[in-house]
Amino acid sequence: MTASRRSSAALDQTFAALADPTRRMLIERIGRQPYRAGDLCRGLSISRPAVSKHLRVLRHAGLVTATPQGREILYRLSPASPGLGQVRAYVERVSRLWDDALQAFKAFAEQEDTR
Amino acid sequence: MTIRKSIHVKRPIEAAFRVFTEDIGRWWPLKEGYSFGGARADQIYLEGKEGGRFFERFTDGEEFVVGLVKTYSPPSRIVFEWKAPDWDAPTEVDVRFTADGTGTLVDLEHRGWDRVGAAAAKSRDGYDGGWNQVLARYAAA
Repeated sequence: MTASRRSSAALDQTFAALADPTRRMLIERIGRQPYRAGDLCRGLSISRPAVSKHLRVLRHAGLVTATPQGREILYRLSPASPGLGQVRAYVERVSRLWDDALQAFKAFAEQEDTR
Repeated sequence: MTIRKSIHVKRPIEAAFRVFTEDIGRWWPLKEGYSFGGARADQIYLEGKEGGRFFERFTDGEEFVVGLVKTYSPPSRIVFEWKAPDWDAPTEVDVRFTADGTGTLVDLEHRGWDRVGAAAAKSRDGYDGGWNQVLARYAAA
């Protein structure tokens, strides 16, 4: 396997990992602060084994790292990951941009009726 | 991660489409900080043809192409790319126009954000500095 094919396979794995809404939610939580697996389950309607399975997928995609801490495992956003927190922050901004832009579009379109 | 917005405009579909595309420079909130040029913001254009450019021209005359038009189907749909300077892969803006009584329903989808993250991760050095620069270009959070 060539280097570029390996890297494209890694990208595929990243996309697959991010395609699942539960995993996106988990990675957003982990992006805010490191989490123990047990704490990640709290307040969620999914079982701990299911969370463990999702965490395994995220780890294999290189999005999160797992560090043993006492009897628990601490999950954090991998330093080499796409930086979902930053992507999310940017997307929020663009989302607000579209709110403002569409309002401006509507206002202009409705007051302009000759050309 | 996909941005979805809908708005109803009290104009017939042909007019709504024309104002959105041809007249974008007359309503886009460039001066409210929504420009890649920051203080150099001046004009913005969306060319009405497939392969046309969605671009800004700054006060000093420099042009920045945000993306190319992928689909141009007046008066019902336009799809164009949106790419910050340091991204490898563009995101995509898909705008659909549907006649709704005497007005028009405009549905906008801005997608492809996963691609941006993954592409940026490939060159992390450029990504960290570059991304922050892009963020800094936008007005207050």
